[in-house]
Amino acid sequence: MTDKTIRTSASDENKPAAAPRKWRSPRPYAIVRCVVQLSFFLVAPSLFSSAFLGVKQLFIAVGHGQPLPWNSFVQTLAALCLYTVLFGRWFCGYACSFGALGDLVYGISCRVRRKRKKKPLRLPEKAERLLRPLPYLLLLAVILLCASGLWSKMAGWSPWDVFSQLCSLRFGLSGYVPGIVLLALIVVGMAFEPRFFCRFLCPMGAVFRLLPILPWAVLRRDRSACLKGCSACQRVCPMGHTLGEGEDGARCNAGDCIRCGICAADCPKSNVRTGIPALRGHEHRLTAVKALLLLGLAWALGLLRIL
Amino acid sequence: MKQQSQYLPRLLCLLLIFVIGAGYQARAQEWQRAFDENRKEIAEVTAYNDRISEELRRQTEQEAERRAAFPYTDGVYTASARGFGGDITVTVTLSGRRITDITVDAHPGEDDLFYGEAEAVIGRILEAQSADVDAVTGATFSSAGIREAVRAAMDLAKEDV
Repeated sequence: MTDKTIRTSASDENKPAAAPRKWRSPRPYAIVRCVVQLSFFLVAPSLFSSAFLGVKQLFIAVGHGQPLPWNSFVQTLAALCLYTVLFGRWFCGYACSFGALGDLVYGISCRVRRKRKKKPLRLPEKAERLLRPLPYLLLLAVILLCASGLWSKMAGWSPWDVFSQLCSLRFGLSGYVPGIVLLALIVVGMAFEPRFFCRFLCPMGAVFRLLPILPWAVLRRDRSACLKGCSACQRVCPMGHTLGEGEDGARCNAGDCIRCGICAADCPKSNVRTGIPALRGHEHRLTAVKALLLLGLAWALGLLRIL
Repeated sequence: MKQQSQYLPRLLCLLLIFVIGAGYQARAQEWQRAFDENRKEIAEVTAYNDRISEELRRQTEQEAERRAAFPYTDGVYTASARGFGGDITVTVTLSGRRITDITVDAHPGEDDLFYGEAEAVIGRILEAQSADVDAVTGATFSSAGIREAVRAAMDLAKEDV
């Protein structure tokens, strides 16, 4: 589920280090990521929708003037937000079933393109810039609908509900026709851009982006050690994120990074690091810890599906 | 988007959101409590009203029963009937749906001895709360006269059932 995608830019010819990438067998980290994503997809696919349902329920309560509930959905939301504050959007990069679906669809799209000797698909820059504020707008729209009590009328429109029901192998989807159509459109969009849903349509992602992610968890690079004119990390990033710089990881939008680790794997100088120097070279151990922690959270919340 | 470290402003915003949320929660819990209290009050008042209605209904039933058992209006009634030697006039007092007093006003045609015996029928009527009592043996005509006078007086008080 990883692909070396290259953004076409006009100044490509001037970059000496950017050789065209050939297809290589997946590296160990990519296999690990694939395994983790598949595991979470099978065992805890409803983490995303439960957390989002928590958001909706909070604002529905506000709309009715009722006390805020503390049920399992709101607890899931709180747990994922706390996790994100501690570790960054690792959930998005490794455990979210929607993200895994996006990676799968885009991976297939890239392979198909490669077979036809074509470059992978990517949206033009203008389209990207236009669509970037969309997650926040969607979040706001959902919040307003919930607070005004209109959400129940719109329930059939939610592609997230359709997806989570399909993940739970529930196929009785009458009344969800608009949602099914939207989900189909999203899946089509996923073939055109890596993490299409996560970048442009995920309201939960908008929530995560607004959180105060702890500085130690922000990925950064030491600019002085970079190869001249390289920018490989920027080009392979599925979220279009630019790494932070300096000791505190400043000058970047930490909320965009989903901690997939592609930049770290691709950096020719292994320059990508977290804020804790002792972790360099041992990121895979941290991955294992993070995975177990999130699995533990899912189990404690009752979201773990025993196969 | 390249920006300066956003950790601190975001943390402050998050804390602000928590403060607002806590404030809202306190207010909303107050509303909930007021709402529950209101519901409780309404339930209490409704229960009280139901009790009152029930009490009223019971009283009306009882009144109807008593009326059926003693269909005579309270008041003072005078009537006469033939005794042995003449008419005996009695005054009957009905109060609280009971016969409370029977007074013989005049018994000109009765001998004192027989009348004295006949007076016992008054006791019987008061005990039975009805004029359907036996006459006194040995003073049959006099006691029957008193009795029938009482019956006539009560007939004046008879209600339509």
